Order: sequence, then structure tokens, then C-alpha cells
Amino acid sequence: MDRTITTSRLKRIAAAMCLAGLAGWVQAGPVSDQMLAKDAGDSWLHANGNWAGHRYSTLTQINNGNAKDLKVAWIFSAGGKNDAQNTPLFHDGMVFFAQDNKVFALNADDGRVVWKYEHKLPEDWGGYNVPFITGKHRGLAIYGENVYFLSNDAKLHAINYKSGKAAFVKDFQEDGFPYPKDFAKAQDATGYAITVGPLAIPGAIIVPMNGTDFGGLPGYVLGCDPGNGRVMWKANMIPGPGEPGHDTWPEGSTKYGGAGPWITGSWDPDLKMYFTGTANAYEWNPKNRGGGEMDNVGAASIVAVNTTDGSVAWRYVGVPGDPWDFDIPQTPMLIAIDGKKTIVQPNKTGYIHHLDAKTGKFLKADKFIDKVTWISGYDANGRPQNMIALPKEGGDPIEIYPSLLGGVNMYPNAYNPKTGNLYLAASESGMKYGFEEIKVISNVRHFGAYQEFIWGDETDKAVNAKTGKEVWRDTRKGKPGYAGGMMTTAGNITVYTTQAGDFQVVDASNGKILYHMNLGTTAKSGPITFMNKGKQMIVQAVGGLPGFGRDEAIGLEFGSAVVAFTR
Amino acid sequence: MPTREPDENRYNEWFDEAGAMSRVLCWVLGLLVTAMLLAAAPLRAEEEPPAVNPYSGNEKAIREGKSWFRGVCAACHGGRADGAGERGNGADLRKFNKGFREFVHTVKNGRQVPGRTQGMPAWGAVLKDDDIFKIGAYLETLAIEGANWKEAKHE
Repeated sequence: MDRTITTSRLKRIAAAMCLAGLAGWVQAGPVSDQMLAKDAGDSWLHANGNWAGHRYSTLTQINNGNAKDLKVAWIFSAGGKNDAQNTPLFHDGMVFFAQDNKVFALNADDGRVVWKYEHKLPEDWGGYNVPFITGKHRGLAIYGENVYFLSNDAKLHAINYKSGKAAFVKDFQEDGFPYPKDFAKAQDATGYAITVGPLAIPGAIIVPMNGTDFGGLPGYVLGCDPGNGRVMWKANMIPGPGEPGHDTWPEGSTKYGGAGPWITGSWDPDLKMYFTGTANAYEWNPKNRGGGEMDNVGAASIVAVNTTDGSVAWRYVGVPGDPWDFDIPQTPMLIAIDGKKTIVQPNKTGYIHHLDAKTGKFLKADKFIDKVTWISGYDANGRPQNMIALPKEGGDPIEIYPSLLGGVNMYPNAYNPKTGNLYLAASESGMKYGFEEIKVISNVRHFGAYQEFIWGDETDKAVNAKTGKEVWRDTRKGKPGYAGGMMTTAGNITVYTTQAGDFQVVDASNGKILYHMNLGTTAKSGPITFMNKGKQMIVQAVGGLPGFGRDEAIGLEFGSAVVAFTR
Repeated sequence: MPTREPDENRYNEWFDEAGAMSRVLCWVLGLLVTAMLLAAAPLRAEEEPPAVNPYSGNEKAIREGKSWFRGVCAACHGGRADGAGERGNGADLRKFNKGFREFVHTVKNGRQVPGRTQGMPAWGAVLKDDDIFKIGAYLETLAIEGANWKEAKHE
């Protein structure tokens, strides 16, 4: 490394720290348990803003009265080669952002790179539709002196947040988590293709093992030692022998089961439980796992893990026997409703599921998109009612709503305790869906199912969390897809960037557009906000493939940028 | 003619990586393949595929090709082959216009998109030529204006 760069970099950090220290605005230094426990405010320390998964900030400097005066502070390009799905973090004057198996620390003053950490994927990395996710990362964690980063090949990198040097790299292959291989060369090409972010809680880094949809492997959540990455406990999303729900899987099918926890979950400090949604069961065609008649508990489920020992407290299956690729991976938000600690999860099914956080007992499911045809609703026990008949293998596909991309997908939602509203990156698309014979190549089991999308509009909306009533919506006519993700603040604003690249700051109460800017490329991640030297900033990463499929309707090209706004 | 350099490199790499044992195996396999070729097998592994698809219009082959396509290719190329896949946007194969031979070449060797990680993996080592031809025969039935499944135009 060039010494002059190092020196000037250190000076810059030192200057930033002095200023911050003098003004007392920013909590500098190692990230403590107390800092992790707060809602996002001066800092943004969790991808989801806080442990409860709200993506809510207590900051009010930018608010519904003055958001119209926003200006671009800086722009940084990470040279992205795939979708920019990472929600950045902010701590101690720096924005941390992951893309393409690299982590960048950016000076929040001007967006310049303070350090860059680069991980090279193994030579034999590859596999069936694995290029689709290569370079995608949904979140980072920060704890103590380190930024924690999960590379696609199932390695946890603890990177000193000041120096950018790795304190350790933990390879989970030794714990039985292989990475996916080039199927043309490997006998067994299956592996965990990690896109999810870790979560920092006192004494542990929670590491979800996802990417179970790339050949057929079961999902896990690991509790790891922040000091060296050692696996302290391992929680299986699919029930093992003796656990409730084990008998909802035919003998031997759990080994391919799917149920990858592919979006960072939430954590409750009182219950000491980690709540995560899980992926669909595998293969999508359910013929090897009960044909849709068996529940396949643990897949397309919400799972609560006791973080003291990794035992599973409960599992709620939202889509029993899931034949539709209706996984429910979205962050289960923790919200107090009528004094009860409630899991609130808007998900692919088109419903917002409410569960008792402690017991997993189903409370209700509120429909949040206009068109749902796969079921008529959920009964009092949380079971789907009147599910439409499955298509016949090899026969014609059937039309259902929503599409397997869901009412909401991976693009994060938000909750504002002041308005009581959920903010949803929703869509109205449907699909034609059919089953085919399941092909197995290099032990990679293919979906045995396929879809033809019926595109509808992106509908960004506010829904009252308690009542399920829609408060406002922003329909992007003729633009299919999802907003990149939602963020909301105590300043009564909600921020999101549409699939078509429109950065929007709206009034959280009524959806009135207060500020708008065309960012020129698509959004796939949620914005953040923080205080940098007394000024509130909003940072939004954009970039990737516009739309899920063809981009004609969106009219944008592939791009890559991290954009910072301030007043 | 399109350049064939990329797969030559891949071939060499493969040989470099292979150990002595597998090299012997390769020779044996090579001899076998040669023997098969000499026996005038219609579908030749390392040779140019036929200029037009031998399965064009063959109902049974189209049905089998459809099954392969839906089971394996549709994830990226979409059930309609329009590129609207759940796993990113593959090429719109309804508009495929490079001719049958180039289709087979692309499926076998894959295709990288410069500046992007998303690309087509190489299927040559795991799919039989015959199955690739059948997939082609199915895709031909989805062709829309501008598509070309015959011989490629001279570039």
C-alpha cells in the first residue's frame, strides 16, 4: 500500500474524529452493546436500522417541512457488476457499503474512499444461476472495532472499521457449509450462496446460511463469536428428528429442504430471540416433499431462534407445503400492538402476518395488495383458505396473483412508530405458473417449475400496522417492479427510490411528494439516514438490472452509484 | 465466422488442471469419441453442429425440449423465453437471430456479459448435444419477427 495515502487517510480520520469529538455529535470509537440497542439516529448501525427491523430514524433535522431543500452532497460509484442490494451502515464519520465481494468505507463528508476491502471468490466458484447472485450483499453488521461482512462464498470477514484490515476471516466450509461450484467441473456443485447480511447482538454475530435455492440445501442460522467467528450454536430452520413439524417432511426430503433465511431478521433483547423469515421449500415443484399436501414446516415460515443456545422456540409456516415459491423471507418486524409484542411481516403472499412474538401464535393476516387469487384468505389458525388447485406437471401453467415475486419481495419495508404506518415496497404483478419434471445435474436439483410474469404496477404504500388499512399509495403506472426499499423518520418523512430510479422523499402521513430526483438507474436497496458533523444526510445506493425481467417498461440501463443528500 | 478463441482457452485450462490420471482417461475418451465419429454418429461432440436443427418441427423432440427449457433455462430466460426470468434477465430467445449453430455454441460454452457478473454458464459438459438440439427445436416454435434459426448470416 502507498504510504502517503495511508497517512492522509489517517489524518482525515483523525480530523473527523476530533471534530466529532469536540461537537459531541457522533459516537466515535468501538460500537458497544448500548449503541447497538438504540433506534437509528445519529448513526445507522444495523442494515434494518434497529434490532426490531423498523428502518426508522429518530432524526428530525430533515423533515416534511424542509425536505424540498435537499441537495446532492456527493456521488460514489462502486463500479457494481450486479445489483446494489446493500443497505449501507454509518458510524464514526464513515459510510460502509458492500458490493461485488468488496467493502468500501466512504468518508461521509465527500464520499471519498477511506479504505477498500476486497475478497476474491474461489477459482471454482460458480453454478446453476449462481451468477445471478454473485456480488449481491444485503447488509453488513458493525460491532466493537469491526465491520462484519459475509462474502458470497460463506465466509465471515471481520474488518477493522478504521483500518480496513481483516481481523479474521471465518470459513464455514469446515462447519459443513460448502459454496456452490462450477457444475461443469464439480461432481457435487451445490452450496450456500450467501447474499444475506449478518446481525450484531450482544456477544454474538448472527450469521444466516442462505442461498438454499441454488441446488437444494437446508437453511441454518448460526451464532458466531465476534472475536473469531467460531460457531457457538447452529439453528436448523427445518425441524430435525424429534422437533415439532419434522413429520411434515417425507423421509429424506429435509436434506434438500430449502428454507434459507435470506434476509436479515430481527432480535428481541428481552425474549433473546432472533426472528427470521425463510425461503421456499426445495424444489419448487413439491412432488418430492409431499406434493403440496404436507406442510413442510420451517420452509416459507417465520422461525424464532433462542439466541442463548440456538434452540428453535417456534416455527410458523405461512405457506404450508409451498408449491408457489412463496417464501416469506422478509424481516419480521417487532411492533408493540395493544401492548403485545407482535411480529409483523408483510410478505410475498400478499398478506401482512401478525404473530405473537413469544409463542408464534397466529394473530391475523391483512391483505395489502389489490389482487390475490391463490387463496381466499387465512383462517383463525393462520392456515391459507381455499388454495387454488396446483397445475399438472408437464401441463399448461395456471394464472395466479401475486407472482412469485410477491406482494413485497426482498426490498425492505419500514415502520414508523409516530405515524403507526408500515411503508411497503409493493407490487401488483401476477404470473402463469407451471410444473415440469425435476432435472438433476451435478447434484444440483432444478426447480421443476417455471413462471411467466404478468406485470402490474409498482405500488409504494403506507398501511396502518394495527388496522391493516391502507393510508396512501404511490402507483407507478406502467412501471412494473418494486421500489428499492423504505426508510422513515421522526421528521415525518418516508424515503424510497422507485424501480425506475426516482428518489422520493414523501410526507410519511399522507404520501405527498416533497422532494424528487431522477437517479438515472434502478434501486434495489433501502436508504439510510444519519448525522454527519451536525448535518443530517440521507444515503441511497442504486444500481443493477432495471426490472426483474425485460427492461423496456423501465427504460433504464445498468448502473452503479451511492448517492448522498443533505440540506 | 464467430471467433472460437474463448472456448479454446477453456479447453486448454481444463487440460492444465487435469491430473495425469484424468489425462489418460481423456485420451481413452478421445479415442472412443473418434471411434464413434468414424462410425458416422450423426451428433458429433466436438465438431460443428449441423447448420440447421435436425429436430426442427419434430413434435416429440419439441415436447422434450420444452421440458428442459422450463425446468432448467426458464429461471433466467423466463417461461415465455422473453428474458423475464425470476433469476435476472437472460436474452430474449424469441428474437434469437444468430442461427442454429451459434445457438448450440452459446449453450455449450456459455456467454459472459462484459462488466457484469450475471452471465450464461457453459452447459457443454453436462447437457447432451441432443438435448440442446431439442431445446432449440422448442425455442424455434416461439420465434417472433426477426428471429433466425437457420444458418447464420455472414458477418
